[in-house]
Amino acid sequence: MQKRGRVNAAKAIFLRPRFALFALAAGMLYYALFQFVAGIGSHGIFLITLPEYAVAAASAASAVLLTIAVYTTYNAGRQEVKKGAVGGGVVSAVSTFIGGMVAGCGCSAPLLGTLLYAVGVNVLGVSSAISYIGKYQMPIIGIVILIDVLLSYYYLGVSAVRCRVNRSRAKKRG
Amino acid sequence: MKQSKIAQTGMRRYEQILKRLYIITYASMAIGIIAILIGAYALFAQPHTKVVYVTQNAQNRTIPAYNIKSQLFVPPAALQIDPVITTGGQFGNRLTNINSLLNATELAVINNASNAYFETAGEMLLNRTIVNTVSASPTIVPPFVVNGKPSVIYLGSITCIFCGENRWAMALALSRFGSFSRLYKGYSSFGDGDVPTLYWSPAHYNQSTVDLGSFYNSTYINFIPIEDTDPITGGFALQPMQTMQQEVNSSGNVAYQDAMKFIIEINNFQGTPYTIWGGYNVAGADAVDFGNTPPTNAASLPLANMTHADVLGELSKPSDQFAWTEYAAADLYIAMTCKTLNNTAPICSLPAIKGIESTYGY
Repeated sequence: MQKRGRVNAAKAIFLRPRFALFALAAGMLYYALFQFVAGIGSHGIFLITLPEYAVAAASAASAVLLTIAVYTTYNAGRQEVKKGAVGGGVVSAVSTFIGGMVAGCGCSAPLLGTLLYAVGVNVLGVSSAISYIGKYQMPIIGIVILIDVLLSYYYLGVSAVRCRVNRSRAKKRG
Repeated sequence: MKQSKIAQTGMRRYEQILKRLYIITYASMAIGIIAILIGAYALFAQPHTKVVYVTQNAQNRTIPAYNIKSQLFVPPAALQIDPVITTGGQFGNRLTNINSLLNATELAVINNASNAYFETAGEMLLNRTIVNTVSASPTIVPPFVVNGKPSVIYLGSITCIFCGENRWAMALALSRFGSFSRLYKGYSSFGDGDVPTLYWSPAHYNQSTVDLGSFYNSTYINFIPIEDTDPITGGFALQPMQTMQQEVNSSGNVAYQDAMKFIIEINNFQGTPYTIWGGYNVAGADAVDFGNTPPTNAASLPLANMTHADVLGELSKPSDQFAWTEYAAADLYIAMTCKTLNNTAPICSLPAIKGIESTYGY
């Protein structure tokens, strides 16, 4: 029942032209952000060893999450829901930033290195981070995508429940 | 009645979700704000790679000065376990002539390059007619002195594309203070460009280890290369520094052991290539030179479609931006080394080198 509700909520969002367009634009924006962040470690060149589909999947997952979050904000009547949806939007941007940073961890990782030195990690820790992130880039990107997907699922649930409640109230009034 | 029950159940679930939303909302927003603040700090704190003029970093930490006596590590002239591969391959996954020696003519391109090339490239750098990025924001460090000479220390990886591109400029720069009796043909890893490059010694291209040493001799400086190796057919890989240090320590060579300690004490390593030119520590490559124009992505790297003969041919008679950029990148390293040597080497008298020293604040 809940599952069908989520599917209906997803349809309600992505079959509307303006939200479909928004999702497309967000995907392109996140792809560009991903490239920019990944390029910081390689003198502005988008030189990554990840397959292109992983970058596309990460950008798409973030864009879907952002779209659902925006839809929820747009349709929510209560402030709490609006705030929750804003959180989803923030997570979508942060996940793209983290994804880009992980993907850009190649020959050198100045962004990651600066972050780690700033929080007190020493050279041994930084070199280990570069080494392990370089080695496990794909699984880390997979986790980032998974977080986006799980949050999208969660927010779809919020929208689905709200839709059902609204329908019930409408029928009752009718 | 039934509709009212559904509505009540829905409302209860809705309220539960709202409670959870509070936690998720504030946690997400807090994480987001912290991440953005740290990200902004990192963006502004990192060296500006596109800026040509250099600001020397103030040193607030104490870095011990080394003045030691030690023989330098002599690498093997060939590796039986990682032999020369003569079979051809497609660009992107070729190992043609990996670990093979440069012949006398090829070696002369590096050792006997005309000083006029360095002068022209230096002038182009100063009058900003080099279109590729050439820059370095060095950190001032005490020179690492071995046997009375300051050292050039290099920590790189055979798998890394920027190390591959940077070794050409390094070899040109080093050739102004001494000469190589041997250099080897190599590549960056398949997953990181497969660009043609030079190896300082035969590389363990099938294993994770550390290759030390070179066949370089100079009366002015020492050259101490530490090269991390990993399977060349994979992507970029780098062993953790603890592992590299253990491998360097197992060599028993004091100069290399102390050089590794020195790098750790400087405490600013952020990846490879990592070089120290006398009193100047450069994080990363000092140029982005993969062709005649700045590249935008991995698909636009002409160097990846060049052979060693192509690169050596261009360096022997520089006529395009790729070749001039390599010489200009070498000039930056030369200027740093000259400053450390109080301009005692003949190359330091070139007007362009003096110009770079004063313009870049070395």
